[in-house]
Amino acid sequence: MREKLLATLFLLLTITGLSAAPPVDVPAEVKGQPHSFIVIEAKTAGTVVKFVALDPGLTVFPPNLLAEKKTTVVSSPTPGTYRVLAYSSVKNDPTDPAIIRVVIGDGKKEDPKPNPDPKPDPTPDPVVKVDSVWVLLVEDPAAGRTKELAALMSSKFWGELKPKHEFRFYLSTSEKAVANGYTKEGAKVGFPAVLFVNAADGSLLTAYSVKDKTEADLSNTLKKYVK
Amino acid sequence: MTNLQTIEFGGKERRLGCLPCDSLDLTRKTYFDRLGASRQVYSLDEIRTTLAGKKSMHLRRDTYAGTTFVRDQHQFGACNGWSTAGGLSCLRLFRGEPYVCLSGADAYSQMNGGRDNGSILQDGMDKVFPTGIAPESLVPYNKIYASQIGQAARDSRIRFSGSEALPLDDEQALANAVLAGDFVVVAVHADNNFFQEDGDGVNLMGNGTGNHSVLVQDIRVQSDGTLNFDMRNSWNTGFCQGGYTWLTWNRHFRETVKYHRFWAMVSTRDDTKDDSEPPVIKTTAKKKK
Repeated sequence: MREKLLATLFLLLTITGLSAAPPVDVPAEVKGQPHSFIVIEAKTAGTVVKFVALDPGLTVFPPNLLAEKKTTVVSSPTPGTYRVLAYSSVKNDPTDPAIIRVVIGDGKKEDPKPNPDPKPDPTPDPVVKVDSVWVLLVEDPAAGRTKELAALMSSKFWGELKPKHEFRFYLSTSEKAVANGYTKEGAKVGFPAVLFVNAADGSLLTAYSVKDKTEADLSNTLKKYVK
Repeated sequence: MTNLQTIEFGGKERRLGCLPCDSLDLTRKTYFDRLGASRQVYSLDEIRTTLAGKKSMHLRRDTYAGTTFVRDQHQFGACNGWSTAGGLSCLRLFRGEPYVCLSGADAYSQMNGGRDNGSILQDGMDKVFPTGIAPESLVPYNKIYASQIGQAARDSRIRFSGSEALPLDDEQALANAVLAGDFVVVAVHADNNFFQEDGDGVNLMGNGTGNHSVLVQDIRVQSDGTLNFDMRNSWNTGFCQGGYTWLTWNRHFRETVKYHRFWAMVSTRDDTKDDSEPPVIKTTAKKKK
């Protein structure tokens, strides 16, 4: 993503003709061993060269630690082929970007070594899938209903719940919502709130605020908790 | 009986039973008054922007399981009862309750003082909505007097009742309420143009003091920026667009709102006797790892 943004930026600058300075002169490729420090030197009329790692796993020395502002040092513990982008500016004109290939080891990524003493990852609690749910939407009457919430409440998600599942809309001030615990649970996550409740035993499966949520979010939650 | 205006439609003489008030009760908390400091209120321009390009906000909710919501008040001046019953029936369904078609006649019987001489909108909001309405299966269209309503029907009312209703007085409140999905009871002035519409489906009746109660349930915007409100009539499906027509504030409401208290149905009570009873939440302790 970062690479694409930078490439787009420089493409635009080139198209608009703002990049008039000659490109930074850097080696096309540098090589080194894992964990070693690999030096990249640039030549340019600019006073400072910026170096950016385009691939994960390669570390670029913090420039403020280096006395020479047109040089950088890179390193990686992992064999592979990486890329670094370099650019500068001359009299307020940015240079074209230049790419340096950094070959660590034989340049091939090796398969990760098996952990000699593997400890199992902590197992997350399995999602309890149930036969049917109640989906309860609880609103704060004092807040008014946004057009997004109105559209969500008019969506076909609700009608398609039946007959296997059920739903209700409540105001947080309603007797039923207070007595049944909907208001309390809704307040924890923020109104307007949706609660998915196991129809068999009333246990709360999940609850969240539906502000900024869509019909697809509700559908995904349903799929997550229902057999 | 009979000081009500009448109008001929569908082979029947329709009595226009929505009575104007010389002075409205303006002391009651209104639709916007109930909202707190963090309230969401849209300007008319914001609403126009929201609706631009859409057929309407709620795609004219007009049927359930293939059955139309449009009812028929027949020859009685019971329009206010039918708009109230229609709104309450649909709001319950919208909230997730099983659909029960509620009786406009039962609603009217609670407002007409024992005579078929019309009723006022405010009584629907203050008396009928919180008391509740019996199903049409227990009170058919022609049982419009309290003396005709059986005990079973009376006992059933609380099961199908509303919990929050609020008056509203201007186009911005009406537009916000309908955009939000609320159902609103309003008054229009039915005249000989009531059965005609322009090329956009907007009704051609004019302004007046108001003589007929209808239910507003949807909203759209025309290309010139005029907001239209979708109205459900209670004269069966032969009226205009399957029982519906579009209205505008300027053409249809700006006068009638002066004599009738428009009101929005915001929420209803759960029916404690239906088969689907929402559960009490049981919170479970998390397992220790």
